[in-house]
Order: sequence, then C-alpha cells, then structure tokens
Amino acid sequence: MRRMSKLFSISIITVFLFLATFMIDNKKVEALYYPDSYYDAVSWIYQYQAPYTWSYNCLGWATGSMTFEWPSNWGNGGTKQQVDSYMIFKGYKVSNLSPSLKSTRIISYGPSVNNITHFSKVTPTAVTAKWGSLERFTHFISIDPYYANSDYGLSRGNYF
Amino acid sequence: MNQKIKRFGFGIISVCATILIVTLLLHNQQDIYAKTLNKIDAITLEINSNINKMISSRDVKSFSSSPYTIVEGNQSYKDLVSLGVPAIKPLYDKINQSKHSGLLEYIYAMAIEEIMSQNYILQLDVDEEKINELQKNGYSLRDVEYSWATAKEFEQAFSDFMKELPKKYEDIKNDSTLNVEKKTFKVTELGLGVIPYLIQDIQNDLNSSLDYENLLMEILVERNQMKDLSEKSKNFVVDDWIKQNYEEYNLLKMIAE
Repeated sequence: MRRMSKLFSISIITVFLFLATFMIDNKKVEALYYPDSYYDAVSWIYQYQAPYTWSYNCLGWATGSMTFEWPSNWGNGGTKQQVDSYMIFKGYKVSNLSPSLKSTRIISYGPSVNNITHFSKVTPTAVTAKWGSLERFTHFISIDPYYANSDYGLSRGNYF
Repeated sequence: MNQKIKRFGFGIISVCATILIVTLLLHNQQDIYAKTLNKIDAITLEINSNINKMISSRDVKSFSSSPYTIVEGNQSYKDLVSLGVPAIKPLYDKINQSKHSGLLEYIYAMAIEEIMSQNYILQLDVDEEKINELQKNGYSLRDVEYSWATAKEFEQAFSDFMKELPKKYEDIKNDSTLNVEKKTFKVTELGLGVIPYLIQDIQNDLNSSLDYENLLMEILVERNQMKDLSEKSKNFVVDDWIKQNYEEYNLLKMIAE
C-alpha cells in the first residue's frame, strides 16, 4: 500500500514537473537568428518551428501558397477593406465572431484595424505564423500571441 | 538581258542589305539585353547582401512581411529601377524562369512597375459566391482594388497586358466612334509598352488623325521618361530619339511575342 502511494506521489511530481517545464519553456527557441529579447518584445508565447527565410512570408504561410505574398496595393500595411476583399477573392469568408481554433483558418494582426501587418494560420490544434523575413513559430493555442504595442499588434480580423 | 542582270543584282543587294540591317538590329538588341542582364545580376548580389545585412543588423524591418517596407531606402533597389526600360525584358525573364515566387522575384516585379510607371491588374475570377460575400460585408466589386500579390501573379498580369496591347492599340486607332482627343487619351493609357508600335507607325509615316510624334512625347512625360513636356518639346527631335532608343523599346515587344 505504502509502495503504491509512493509510486503515485512520484507520478504526480513527474506530471507536475513536466507541465512546469512546458509552462516555463513555452518560449523555448532553437537556432534563432536574434537573441531571445528581440522575439520576447513581440510575443509572450512562441516556439521555433522552421528556419528564417525570405522565400515566403506570413501571408504566404497562412494561405498555404508558400510564396512572398503581399497585394501590391497594400504598401506597408493593408486596410480592413483591402484585407477583407483580398481574403474573399482567395475563397475565404469574413467572420464577425471571435476567432476560435475550431472555425478560424486565418487571423490578421496589426497596430490598428486599418494597418494590417501580419497573419497567422489557424488549425484545430495550433496557431502558427511566419515572422517577416525571420523564422516560423507556433503560438500554441493563443489567438492573440503578440503584445499590443508590438509591430504585429492585436488580432484585427478572422477568416474561415 | 543586261537590264535583267542589273535588276537581279539590285535585288540581291537589297535582300543582303535588309538581312544585314535586321542582323545588326538584332545583334544590338541582344547586346543591350546581355549588358543589362549583367548589371541586374550585379545589383541582385547587392540586394541579397543588403537583405542579409538588414537581418544581421537586427533591423526592425526583418519582422515585416511587406516588401515595400523592406526596400524602403534601399539603394540597390533604386539602382535596379534606374536601369530603366532596357531592364524590363530581362527582369521579366528572371521572374518567368524562376521556380520561386519569393522576395527577390517580388522586388523584380516592383521594379518593373516602377520603371513602367504603371500598375498591372490580374484578371480575377469573379463568381456569385464572392460577390455575395463582398455584399454581406458591406463592400461592392468596385471596392476591390486588388492588382497582384505574388511575383508569379504579377508575371501573369504583365504578360497578359503586353500580349493584349497590340490589338488594343489597333482597335483604338480604328474605332470610328472615338474622336482624336479620346483616342490620344486611350493610347496614352496603354503606357510605355505601346511605344514600339508607335515608332512603327511614325517610321511608316501612316496617314492618321493621330499625331503620333506628340503622342510619343506625352507618353514619355506621363510615364516619367521625360521631365517636362513644354521644356523638352523644344529640343525633342523624334527621329533622333527613335535612333537612340529604338532597340531598348523594341525589347518590350518581345514580351508580347
């Protein structure tokens, strides 16, 4: 009986340590190009997924084209109207509900509604995003993984 | 008999002369193409190195997904644009021959639009479902300003435009419902790509209500190839301009072929 209880305690501690490691390590990075502080200033939750490259960008990752995709009339950032109409022409629908892992496919981000600068891809298990010319990251299940005052800002729209 | 031989001789000489002129023109065109391509390759190395520097120097632009933010203030991009019209065909070929549609190809596409001072629009697939979705969100088809979003989409939009251009030009010229003013406006809208066909008409001295020479000047001014119409027109000699620029502009025609 005592042995059983010891085993149970060890299992509980192991599970706890495992979860704690995960919580602490959710910014764990591998082979990142910049020091962590650069990424930390943008997002509070990220984990390395793929190396830095300029063969595709965030929108190219989100739509799956794997190209450097950026409508030529958006300039440095797209307006809500430009982004919505682009997404519609790419076959997506604009959602007026809060984004969710179940129903959303793409989330747009930006410092303001009419300055969309970033996109993430949403699957039922995770939110992932390619950061400009840098690496690709998973943001786990966070819909809003960026600080409001960062260049990526808050989520501004979602498409399904 | 003697006259027949003379005529035959003249015939042979004219054929040879024509072949010689065409060969020389083609050679010159190939020469311009090759020289510009070398310059583009050198600038491309610079662009690559600048982007790498941007990333390694921890420039905030590295976080941006907009090519417009990335090339802002980039000298090598400005050098690419300053190559002007002779760079159009080799840049287009580079996009066309590339297996990728990455940032570099996108920068080539941006440079083509900037040199041509014109935006090229991809024909969109419009279906009822998309129109309904637009309307549902308070937009109309008119609100859609989309031109192209990747280098490969640009290639499609640009080549479609250039291929349709000769017919559009002929249609405008032959449209009896348009007055000279409207015809001039519509031809000017076709941009620099119409110039090789205009040159042809100037050289053939075609009888037309259109003032081809003035049209040429107007397009050059509007598309930033000439600074000021009133100032330049004083010194503008069409024949001299054609002599100096014929091969460069003729390269544009090859995109339509």
